[in-house]
Amino acid sequence: MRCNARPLGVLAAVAKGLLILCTVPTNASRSSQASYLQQTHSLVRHMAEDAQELFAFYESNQSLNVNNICQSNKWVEWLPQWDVADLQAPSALQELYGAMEHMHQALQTILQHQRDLNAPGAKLLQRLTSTHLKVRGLLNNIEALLRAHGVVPVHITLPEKPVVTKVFQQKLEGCKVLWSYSRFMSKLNADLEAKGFRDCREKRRQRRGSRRGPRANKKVRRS
Amino acid sequence: MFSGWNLVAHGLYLFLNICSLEGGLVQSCGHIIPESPVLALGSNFTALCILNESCLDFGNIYANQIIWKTKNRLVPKEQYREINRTVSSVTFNDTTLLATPLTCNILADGQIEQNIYGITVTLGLPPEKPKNLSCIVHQVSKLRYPMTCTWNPGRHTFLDTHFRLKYRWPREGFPDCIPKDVNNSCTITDVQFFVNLEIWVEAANALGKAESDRLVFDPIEIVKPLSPHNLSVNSGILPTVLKLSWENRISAAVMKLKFNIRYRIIGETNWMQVPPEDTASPRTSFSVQGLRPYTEYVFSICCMKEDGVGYWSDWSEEKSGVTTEDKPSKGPPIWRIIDASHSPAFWTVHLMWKALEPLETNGVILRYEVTVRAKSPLSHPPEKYNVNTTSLTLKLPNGTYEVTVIAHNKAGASPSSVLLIPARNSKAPVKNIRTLPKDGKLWVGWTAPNSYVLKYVIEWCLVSNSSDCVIEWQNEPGNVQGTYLKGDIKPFKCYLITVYPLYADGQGNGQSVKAYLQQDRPSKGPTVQTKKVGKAEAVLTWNHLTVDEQNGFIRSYTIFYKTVDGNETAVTVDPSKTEYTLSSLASDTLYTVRMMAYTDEGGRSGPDFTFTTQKFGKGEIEAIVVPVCLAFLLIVLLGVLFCFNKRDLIKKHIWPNVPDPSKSNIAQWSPQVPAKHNFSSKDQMYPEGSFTDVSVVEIEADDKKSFSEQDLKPFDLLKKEKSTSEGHSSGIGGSSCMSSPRQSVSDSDEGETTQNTSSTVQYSTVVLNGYKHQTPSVQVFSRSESTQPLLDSEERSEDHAGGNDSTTQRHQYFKQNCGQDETNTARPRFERAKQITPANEEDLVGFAQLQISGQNSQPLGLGLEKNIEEATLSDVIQASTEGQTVRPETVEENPASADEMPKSYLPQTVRQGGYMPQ
Repeated sequence: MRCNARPLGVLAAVAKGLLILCTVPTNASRSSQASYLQQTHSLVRHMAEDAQELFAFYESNQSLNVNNICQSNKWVEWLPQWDVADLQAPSALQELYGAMEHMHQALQTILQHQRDLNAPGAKLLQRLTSTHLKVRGLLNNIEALLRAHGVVPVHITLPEKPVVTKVFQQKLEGCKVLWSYSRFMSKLNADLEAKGFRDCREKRRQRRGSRRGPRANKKVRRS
Repeated sequence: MFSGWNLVAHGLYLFLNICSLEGGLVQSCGHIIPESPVLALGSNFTALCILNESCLDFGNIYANQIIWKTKNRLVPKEQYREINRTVSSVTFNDTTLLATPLTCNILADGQIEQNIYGITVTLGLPPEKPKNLSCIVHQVSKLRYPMTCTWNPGRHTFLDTHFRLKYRWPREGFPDCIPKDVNNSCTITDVQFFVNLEIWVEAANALGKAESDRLVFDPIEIVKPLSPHNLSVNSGILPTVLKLSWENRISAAVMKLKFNIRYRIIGETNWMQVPPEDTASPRTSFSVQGLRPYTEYVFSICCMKEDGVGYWSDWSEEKSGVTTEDKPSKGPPIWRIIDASHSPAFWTVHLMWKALEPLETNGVILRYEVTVRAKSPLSHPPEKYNVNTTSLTLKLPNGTYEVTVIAHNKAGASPSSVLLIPARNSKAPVKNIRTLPKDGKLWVGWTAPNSYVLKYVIEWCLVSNSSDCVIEWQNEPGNVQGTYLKGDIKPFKCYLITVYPLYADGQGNGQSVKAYLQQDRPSKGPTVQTKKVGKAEAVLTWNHLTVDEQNGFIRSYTIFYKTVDGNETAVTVDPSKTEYTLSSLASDTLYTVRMMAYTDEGGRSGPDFTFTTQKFGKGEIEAIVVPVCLAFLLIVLLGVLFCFNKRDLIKKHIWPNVPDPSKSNIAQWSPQVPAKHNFSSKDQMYPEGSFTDVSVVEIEADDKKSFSEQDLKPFDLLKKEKSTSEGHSSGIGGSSCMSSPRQSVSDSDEGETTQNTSSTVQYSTVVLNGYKHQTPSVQVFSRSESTQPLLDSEERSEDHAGGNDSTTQRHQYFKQNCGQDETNTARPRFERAKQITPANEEDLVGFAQLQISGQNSQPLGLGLEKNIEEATLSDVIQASTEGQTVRPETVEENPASADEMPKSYLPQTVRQGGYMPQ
């Protein structure tokens, strides 16, 4: 249970960071930053959907959709699991950036394994390539956001992983990564959606309050 | 020996060096810098030819011996420059004029040209900056989004130019997209949305590189999505609603879509669209409202990014659906034809109504319910008829009826249509009915009556000779004053259009007009023919063209007529006429006439018709003939009257009075028996100058033709007269000489005539005078026309006349003129007459000769003139002296011409109541 709760917290933190970036833009890059945020939000939504579809496709394609074998696996350790509420914005972005770098490497590994198992042009390869491209895209967007804040993203050093030689283990490893990835992206997307609605409501309130303020003062003066 | 080998080796070396350019077997004697250059067109270019030192040593070749050639053409030496003894340069200021290859050559021993080296020069242009770079992402499946970018590659460079589409993310680059077979587009197989992409085009060739402007965009902004698919149309509960459902082929996570829905009634071409704002949000279904009941619609849908950035998808496949039925929206228009011809007490009413338009039926019409209610004073219960057709024929008593028609379909009944069939159409009609062809349709307009009109019925039919007038009709509301005829109105056909106003309590009289949707020339011209042709006029008639031949309103006829060689004359005739009179025509002339009938669109000519005018006008012949006849009759009448008045004179001329022999007193004046006659008494009886009824025939010799044959006709007449009076002839032979010339004229009667003549004595006087006081050229002939028979005493006296002077003179006369009588004087007169006939014939020949040889006879005539006068005078004297005085000079003065001249008789004067003896 803990394992499941942790990535959700990471996602919430990342979403919060994105929203903070949305609400506190710098002067120079306000418009581009907003654009990047919007694009990132859309990309996350897109990736969340894609991740679910990829997992489902992978599970069926690899004949692993029995007994929820993939879903019962352990959450991958390089996806953040801590509470996002404590996440500062740049750090959250940095955290997300690191997670995506891991994901990028993991997808490369899965692709490598699947290229051995599938013919070139196989649909699974296409989907994996497409998801890989999306992860790389998200990395680009997060880096752009960080750079917009004057933060240079820190490329993490990925630890050497033990080479898995057994095909089933490769499949299972891939399935575990993709399941964790889909969960992570779904939670991230959901938090961003929720935060987005919440912030928009607050913005409207603030706007209303700013409009009513002078009137209320006038009323007070009259009374 | 060594020097000889050295010389051979030197020569071989030089040969190989020179030949090395072609064969490349050994090192060249020199080379050109730069090697195979690529030059920009229009730039300047300098090449260097560098000789090898070895050539200097062994071949005595130096840079000053170098000549440059471009494609075997010598480059002017002004462009050379000898840099040192081994290097020569050539400079071209404009490479456009530089032909390839460029060769470096030497003049060995100042004369022999040897090629040292050559290069190929490539000319071209550097690439231009690619322009107008644009990209579009075509969705080909749910997960595949290839992006195609196009650009303008710029001018042709004449060189091998490579274009590359470059694109990258901020922190990651991608392999270049290299166009295949084209130089202006390239397709990236997959792009990632929501990440900005920087993209540009690079063009490169040997002369340089050029890059387009860089574009940075999110590929999601240039997507042309696939259209929705699996479109389905379902009819809803309402008859005016159809529900559409579809599937989108792009994920909502990728792109939120808005839609555009179009639809049309099947069979029509114009599309209608659902308002875009109604479909501007993501969805997979939509209910289209406001449709017609029981109508089949076709739908199609397309989509694009919700915010309008990007491209609209193609239209989806079309799907159709039918709305459910509804009650007919209105009652069928109704009209009637009343036929009261069979019986005045009963009408045959043909009720007819129009099938409702599809817009109005709202379903399938199952039946029509017709109700006929008699208005007062008739009191029949309403009669209902259920029919499936659109007409009903009823036989109704003369009266006023209210007819109601209701259409029924599965959903219900229509509102009722009511028509009042009145006893008579006595209400006010419309006015000023007019037509106007417009937009291929026939518009009918009218001026409304002053009263309130419920509606109008416009009735029309095709007017044709070949078919009956089949009535078509339509209803129009009472507030309009014009409408288009809703039927198959054909061009060039005549339509009779009638407008009836319908009031609440009856209907007005119909007003009619004829109209054409489109006019044309008549299909043929009138056939003209003549009804009557005169000397200077002709009445032409023709028949009107039939309605089918007219093709329009005949505005005029034109008659063209001309003579064979004359100009054509045209006459315009009113179209109502069928007859025209051409006037001022030439008489007895062939005319060709044709006729053209004109509509507004032109005319067509009928066949030619020819006719010939008469030579004489009407009554002209009568005007000539009748007066001539009348004049002739008048002349005849006058002649008859004249003759009647002068009958005595004529009678005396033709039938002179013959003295009654019984009353003859010739014995009294016979010279032979003077004793027996009372000379004095006779003298008293015929005193001098008291002659009466003397027949004198004057033959006036005008000229040499004086004795023409016509002039001899009187002799013929006399001959005939003599013949007719033969029975009355006295047979006095003394005058038989006269008969001789006649015999020669009529040979056939010669014997008889001679005989008759010999038995007849005519008493006449022939006096030959000159015409108009001209002297006649012939002898005077005279004879006695008396048929008085000679008395025996006279015969005897003649027989005894030999010793008498007068007898001698007379005898001499006869002797001269009837020469053969000389010897036969003692014979009886009859015999003498016979005997002298030949002589007389000779005399006649002489007479004829006189006629023919007039000129010769002229002197003779002139000579005779006096003689004639004298003879006449002598006759008178002789007469006055009772024939006793005969002047022998008369015949003796021209003795030589006596034979040539016809024998003449002595003139004889006959007194009234007696005759003068010869």
